[in-house]
Amino acid sequence: MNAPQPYTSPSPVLQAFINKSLRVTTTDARFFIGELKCTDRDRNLILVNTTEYRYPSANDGLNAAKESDGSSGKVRVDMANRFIGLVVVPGNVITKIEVQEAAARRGWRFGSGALETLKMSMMASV
Amino acid sequence: MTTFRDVTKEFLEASGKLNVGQLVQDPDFTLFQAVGALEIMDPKMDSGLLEPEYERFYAWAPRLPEEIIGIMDHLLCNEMAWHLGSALSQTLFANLYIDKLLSSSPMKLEQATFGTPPREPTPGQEIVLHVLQPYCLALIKCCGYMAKQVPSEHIYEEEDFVPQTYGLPLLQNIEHAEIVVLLDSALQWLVDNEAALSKELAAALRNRLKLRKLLLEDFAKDGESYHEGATSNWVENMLKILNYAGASNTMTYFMHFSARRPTPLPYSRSLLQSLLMKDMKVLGRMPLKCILFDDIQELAYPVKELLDPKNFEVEAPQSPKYQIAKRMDWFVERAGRSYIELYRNFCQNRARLRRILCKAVLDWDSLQVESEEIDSELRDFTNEAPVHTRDGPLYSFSLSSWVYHYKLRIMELIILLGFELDIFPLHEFDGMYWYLQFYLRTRSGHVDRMRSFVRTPPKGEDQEGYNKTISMLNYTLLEIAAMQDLASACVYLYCALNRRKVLGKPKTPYGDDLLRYEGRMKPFLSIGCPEVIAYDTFRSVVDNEEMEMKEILSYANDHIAEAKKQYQKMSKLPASIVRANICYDSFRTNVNCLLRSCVGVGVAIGVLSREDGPVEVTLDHGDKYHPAFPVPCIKVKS
Repeated sequence: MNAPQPYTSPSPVLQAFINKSLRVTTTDARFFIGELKCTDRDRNLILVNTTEYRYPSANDGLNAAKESDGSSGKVRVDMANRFIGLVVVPGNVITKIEVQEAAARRGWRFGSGALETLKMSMMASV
Repeated sequence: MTTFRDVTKEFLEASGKLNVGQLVQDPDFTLFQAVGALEIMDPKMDSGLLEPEYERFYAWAPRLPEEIIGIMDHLLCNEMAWHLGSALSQTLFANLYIDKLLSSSPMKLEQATFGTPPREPTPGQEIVLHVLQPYCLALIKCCGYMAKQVPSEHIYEEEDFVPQTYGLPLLQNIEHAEIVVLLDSALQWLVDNEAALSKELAAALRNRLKLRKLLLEDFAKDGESYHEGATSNWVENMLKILNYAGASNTMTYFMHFSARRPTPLPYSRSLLQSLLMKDMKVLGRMPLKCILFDDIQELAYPVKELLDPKNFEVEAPQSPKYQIAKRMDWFVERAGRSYIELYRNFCQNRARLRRILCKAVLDWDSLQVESEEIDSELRDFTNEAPVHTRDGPLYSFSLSSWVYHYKLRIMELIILLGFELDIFPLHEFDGMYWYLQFYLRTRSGHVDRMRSFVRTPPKGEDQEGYNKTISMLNYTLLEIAAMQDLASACVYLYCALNRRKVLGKPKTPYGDDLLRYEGRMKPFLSIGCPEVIAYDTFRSVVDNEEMEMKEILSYANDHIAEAKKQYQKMSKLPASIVRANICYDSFRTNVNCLLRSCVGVGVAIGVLSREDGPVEVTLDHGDKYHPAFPVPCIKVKS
């Protein structure tokens, strides 16, 4: 038997997205936010810790409108979301891919969650 | 604040450069983990998938009357599928009209609509508004009652019925009368618009609305309202049990109810339980003690001091009456529970019934031992005179006799259900029928013993009760004898078939016959009396090796002829004798099935007696035969 080959990334560009938070919009106007674990030539994406978001339906809007006091003339309806965990998003249903900007993350220069925590706890102890 | 940058284009370009099969991944992530991932947009995995027809569904779209009829019938099918055990999510809740009505979780009638109705409805929209919407509301209301009734009694969830409503209220807050008003105005709308509809279509719609109204009226009633005298459109037959005609009649009804083919739906099985017992009252009229004492009185006819209602009024502890009452109270508490549970068991599905009875028989066995003790204690207070025989003085042991009789009936039932539910393989039929006739024989002996203790009451006292018991015991003996003959004929027939090696006994490399026997008899292994017999003895009494083939078949023939005669006799008996006052039709059907089984078995015996060459056997489980006595069809192999 062959020993398993050590992993070498076939694409540095895509490798940069691995473990990043992506926002993936699908053809039915839902979007999913989760961390990318794996992708291939057909842009099938495996996301972990994914949350599904959907735009409220017309019905929800009506209900919210009934409940609001109507003073502002505007109605605020929250997007429905739910945690769905590990998912595969097939490439052919994807209409848009966005990446969460690293700058928005605290401790981004360290690039590692462990270091980030370490730094935070050090700050706390000072 | 998190921001996202659109990378669709660069992602697309980069992935286009990959080769087929190449993966970009987190090195710690294995594809093995990915097996559990849900696939988005896969209709079977992605529950959040937005189906365009679902999203764009507009309930007020105009419909033709024909379409409305189709939708109504589809809804009725969905509803019945739920009654038959499917989940709401796969039946009614998958209907877009129902979904429209319920997705806003309406608490008031005004909220339960298909949405804001169009201002100036076209004729095609009017029919949706005035006919379909009221129909759907009434249907949901029916389901609401159903969802309340069934779980209120003992019905096995997920096995018979899925009560899950996924948090949606099924219009439980809305008054039944409000819905009836809606249905009435729907009917009125049909009258007003008769000109626009063809006669046929108007009638079809009217009938569907009327059916729904009748259903709604019945679903709105529960055990309590029936106890208070409500009448019914659908379960009138079941309400007959409320006209109490003695414990034995009630028991017969429950046994026949349970044996109905097809098995009654969960709703009726649950309702029957509600009718039987609510708030510690049996059939809405009497305490448990009454029906229990009735049953004991009719079957065992104990000395009159035992069940005397005056016993319970005595408060002086030195009085024997007080002592009797104390022990009878214990008995009512102990046996009453098992007894009423037996009725309830008959409201379960057949497979479940057998499983429950296998456990119940152990309970009745220990009850028998406990009652024997009470019986001998009671003797001191009733001053029962023994019957003198050659074996010395004998006492009636009324209570434990009664218990033993029920225990034996349960044991027979377990075997009978084994046949009915296809539990026994063909090559074990001879042995199992042997046990059936063995238990019947034991019970017959027991009834004989009971009859010897039924003493003629002194002149002027309770002749009626005495006659009732004698007729009960005589009928029981006839019933036992008939089935015993049928079972014996089957023992001989299958024994003959086994000898000719046509029952296809499989090779079992990991087990042997002894092991299988022990497994088969497991429910009875710990029963003290009658005991399971040793395997070697069992084989020798079933196989009858000392007998010639011809002899075996001639015995089979004698028994089946005898069985036929007795069932014919039974079929002519009046309802009062066979204790089927409230279910005489079922009784007749049942005896006819048994008779047809007798004929079928007789034919099989005849064929086997004539043909010496190779034959093959198939079982006919047809509805015309008794389910516990399927008929073997024997064909000559060509």
